[in-house]
Amino acid sequence: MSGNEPWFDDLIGELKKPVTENARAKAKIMEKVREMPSRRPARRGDTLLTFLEWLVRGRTVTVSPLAVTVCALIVVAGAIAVGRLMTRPHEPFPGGALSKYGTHVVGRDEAVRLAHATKPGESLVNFVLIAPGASRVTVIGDFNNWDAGATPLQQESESGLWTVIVPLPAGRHEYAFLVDGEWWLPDPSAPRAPKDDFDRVNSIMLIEG
Amino acid sequence: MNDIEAIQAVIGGDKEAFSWLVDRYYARSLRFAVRMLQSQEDGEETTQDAFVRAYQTLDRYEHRDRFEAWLFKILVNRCRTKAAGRNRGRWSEPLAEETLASRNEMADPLLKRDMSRALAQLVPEQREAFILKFVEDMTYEEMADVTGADVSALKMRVMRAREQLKKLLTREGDTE
Repeated sequence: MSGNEPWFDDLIGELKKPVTENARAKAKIMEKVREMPSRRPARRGDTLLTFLEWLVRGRTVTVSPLAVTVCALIVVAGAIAVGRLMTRPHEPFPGGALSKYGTHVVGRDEAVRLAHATKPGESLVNFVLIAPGASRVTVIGDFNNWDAGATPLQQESESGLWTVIVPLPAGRHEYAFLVDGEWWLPDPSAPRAPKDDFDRVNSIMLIEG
Repeated sequence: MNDIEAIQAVIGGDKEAFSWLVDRYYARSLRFAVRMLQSQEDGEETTQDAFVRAYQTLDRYEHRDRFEAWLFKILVNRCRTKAAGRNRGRWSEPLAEETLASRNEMADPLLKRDMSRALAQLVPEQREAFILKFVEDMTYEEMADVTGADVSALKMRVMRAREQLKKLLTREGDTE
């Protein structure tokens, strides 16, 4: 470290010191590993799954914005429907169908729950993502304080259709999907916001009052 | 045993072989996560997540890259996600006009507290680049692989981080 200024050497010396290890926290890693299935190498039959997983995993923060867009478009083209469908505040949804454009249907209990959960001035927003191969999808945004665990999507089919309906207040919202807790994905069907502090691209949604 | 032998054993069904990789890389991974997140608890949780994720995807690991670089790629992403979800914007706004070096004990060695606070004032992408470069001793090419950012962008982040830290930790920039 010689040749640097004293403040720099002091700082790096401090930062390089080992961090106190909590044996319990470290042991938890192997505890979790023991609970999981054994790993195995990919087989020929896994080709389709691997490709589908690639479609999802290709959209990471580590690729260029252009590549992100291209990957997202591939998913849209290969999927049934991707996007978000809004209803007017307190608009009745006959038969539990929430979408004016699609056929997304929720059960009666869920429809009643949503109707009660929606406050005056809020709209019901249906977040939809096609993510084959994903084990967990959540939507994160300013409306849930970017809490990765607050708004999970439910897998609707084996084809990898994930949805959740969320009451949101009028205004401009930024949001993204988080796939498997790791892959940050803007909504392929929505406008993009400028990159955030973490060099990530989010989507923008405007809800009229 | 080496990394490749351990990975092959794990893929072959020997879960316990993964503990060899944990033992080998835990300390360095934890140090990065704690320095990056400025929290022992968050650092431990994020390091754990990264190792578990590495295990889950180990069968996709190819020996083209070093295991450590691959693990760090996961860890960097986990730290970003953790920081974004924890308190968005918390680190994006530097504290107002605060110069840590304005303390009177100019001649004293830098205090650990000051260093930690100075690091916390960097925007996350600069802190990330600074730590990878000078604490983890990565080359810019390794950093590019781990972060997904261009080498030129990383050099700029490191330079700005260093300038900012110097300003915060020395008298430079004081108006008096």
